[in-house]
Amino acid sequence: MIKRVLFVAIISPLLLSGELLRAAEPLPFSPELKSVLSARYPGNVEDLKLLEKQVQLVAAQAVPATVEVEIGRSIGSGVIVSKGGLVLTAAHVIGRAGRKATLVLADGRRLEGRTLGAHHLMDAGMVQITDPPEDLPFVPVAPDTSVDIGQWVVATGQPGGILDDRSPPVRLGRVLATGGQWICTDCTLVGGDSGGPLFNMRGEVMAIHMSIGPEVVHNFHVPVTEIQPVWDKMLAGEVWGNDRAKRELEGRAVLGLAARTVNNRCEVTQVFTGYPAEAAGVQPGDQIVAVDGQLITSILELSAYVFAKSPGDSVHLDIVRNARPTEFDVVLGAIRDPLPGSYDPSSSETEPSAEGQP
Amino acid sequence: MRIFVSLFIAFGVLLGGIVAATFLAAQSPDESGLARHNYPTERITVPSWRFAHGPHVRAAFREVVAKSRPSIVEIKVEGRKVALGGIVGADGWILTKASALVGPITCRLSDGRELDARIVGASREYDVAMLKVAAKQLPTLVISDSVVPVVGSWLASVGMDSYPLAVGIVSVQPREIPHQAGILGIQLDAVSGQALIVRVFPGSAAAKAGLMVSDVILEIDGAETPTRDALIRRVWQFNPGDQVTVKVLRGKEQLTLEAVLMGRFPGLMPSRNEFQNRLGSGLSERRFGFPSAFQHDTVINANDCGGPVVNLDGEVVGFNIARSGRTETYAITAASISKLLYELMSGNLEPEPVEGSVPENSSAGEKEPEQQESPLVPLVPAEVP
Repeated sequence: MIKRVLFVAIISPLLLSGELLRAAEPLPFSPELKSVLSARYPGNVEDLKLLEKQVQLVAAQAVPATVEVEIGRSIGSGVIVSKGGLVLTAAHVIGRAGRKATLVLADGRRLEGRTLGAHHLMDAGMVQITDPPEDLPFVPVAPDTSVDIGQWVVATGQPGGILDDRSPPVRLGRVLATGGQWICTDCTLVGGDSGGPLFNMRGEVMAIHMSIGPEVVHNFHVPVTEIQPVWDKMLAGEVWGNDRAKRELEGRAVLGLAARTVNNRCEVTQVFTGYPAEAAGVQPGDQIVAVDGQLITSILELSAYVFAKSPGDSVHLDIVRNARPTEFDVVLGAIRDPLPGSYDPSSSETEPSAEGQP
Repeated sequence: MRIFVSLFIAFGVLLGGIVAATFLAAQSPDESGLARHNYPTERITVPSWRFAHGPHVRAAFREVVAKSRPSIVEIKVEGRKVALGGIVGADGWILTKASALVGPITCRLSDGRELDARIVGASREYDVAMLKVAAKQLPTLVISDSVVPVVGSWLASVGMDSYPLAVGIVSVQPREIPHQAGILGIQLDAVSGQALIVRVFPGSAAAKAGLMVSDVILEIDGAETPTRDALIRRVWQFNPGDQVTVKVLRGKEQLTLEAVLMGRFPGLMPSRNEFQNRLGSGLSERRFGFPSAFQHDTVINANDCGGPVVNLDGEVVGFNIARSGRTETYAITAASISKLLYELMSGNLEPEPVEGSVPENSSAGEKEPEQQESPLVPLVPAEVP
């Protein structure tokens, strides 16, 4: 592997209101702390206190530089890594280059930005703040050093999106395992944290939050050591790798019909124009008795079945029409605008996509 | 001793947008056509010392919890553990999580005694209750109301063992935790203007409480609900997980029922957000709407709430009040508790005993109504309190 240190921490302390240091400077370690951090685990309260002091310092530096990233209907997290307003985030948060982004700082400030490049397979991306203010907080990126199994780490982000008067929650964990392209920690993450930073104990960004698994100890991050070799490519606005975010944006699978439950039968009451059910020939009054061979006795069962599918999947419907059985194969579409009468929590923040949806 | 904990990862869940509902991150071939993974796909063994909150790390907290440990109480309802509690008065005063207490309560003390308890006071706002058991000279907690732990400080959730049951750090300073509207799970008559039930959703809070179609709801927790709108407004004041008394008119009979409000409609798939938050840990029913609480990252079970959290100096800085999400546990501050203690002990906040009873045929509400109409995706929430 070609080792390139493309990013050097800028050491330029900015003094704000006389005291607030917002420099991107790695935090020093005392010899005592060093031995606690390199031990398998803390042995006593003194060790814990040394660790705690450091976590508090890392948190104080991490929180102001953590941002919520809003792009269209997508919400994620990010971290400011330069005085010039460069933000690291996840590829599946930004999708593609050139999109308008809003970055919300921990202090509530909303800054405008544009998405730069993204590597979808790795799940890392960049956003540039359009007009970075003088007092922009930022943090250093870890130099190209390896990730140590068992090392202590701090995570921030905006889980569930930004909330009034909640600063980005700080979480502590350790590196449980790594596979080169990913780091697994026990810093708990959840939706909205994507793209948020993972810090080492020097307060440097060492990874970007990517995904979670079924247990609370399954939290995955992309190490910056993987991002650094493609830093310039990303900065130049290149987007490559498999576009996972595109699938995300395609949304939830739908049949495009409304129904009611009558005597344990799911009866179609309406077929929406332009949706797959209409194209397949489903009509109001049809009774859907089975989907993919599974008996359906209520609209809720049908909804649950379709919900678990992806757009583009095909389902087989057994229908009773005028007391005669008939069958349809329907290729599920993607929900775009909310269907009439449906509840879509994201509908209030609709933004016409520049991509031009069909 | 080397304990190994297995970490098996079958799939990853993307954390990003709140938009879509596709959970599984697909394994897709890259440009070269080879499948590449950016998360593990096979079983990885992680030794337990490596976990930030594992037994080896927790062992370092032994002396931190030593002082408060004798004051920890296990709260049981019908023999099942529902919460932890902390002794706050030597004569048998125990503070715990109020909404966990549905049914006859017993307390298991650290000396092994198991005693019946009654609720002498409860605060719905904070979801705390004061219990009283018949005992003397119990070891009490010292609540440090002047200490507010800063973000990044260690917290130990004290259990009955010599190790803390879990440890974590302060994630967010104390703040007001937003309220979320509770749901009964009924549909009301839109024409009459009365709080007349025309539909009870199967599996809902209303169905479990024994509410039935044609019942007219007269009162919710002592406040009259003469109109449909009044009822909706009243129910929304509560949080999911709150237990409320519902006075209904059924025919000519007046009944008082108990309902535990829910946060969403039964039968609907959980939202993406809820799905992710429930991954890997059970959540408290009542987990929203606290006047002041700090957030910490300690992973505890829902039935471990109600007990104290201490800082590295062993000072009680709060009480765990809710496991609220995958990343968050809330603890109400020691300052809030101190203010509440005497009020809770005074008897002024004693909950009223429930009058009336649930009729025998109350389970009828759980039967699916003969006809129900719904669009493909969730019902219009505004129609249903």
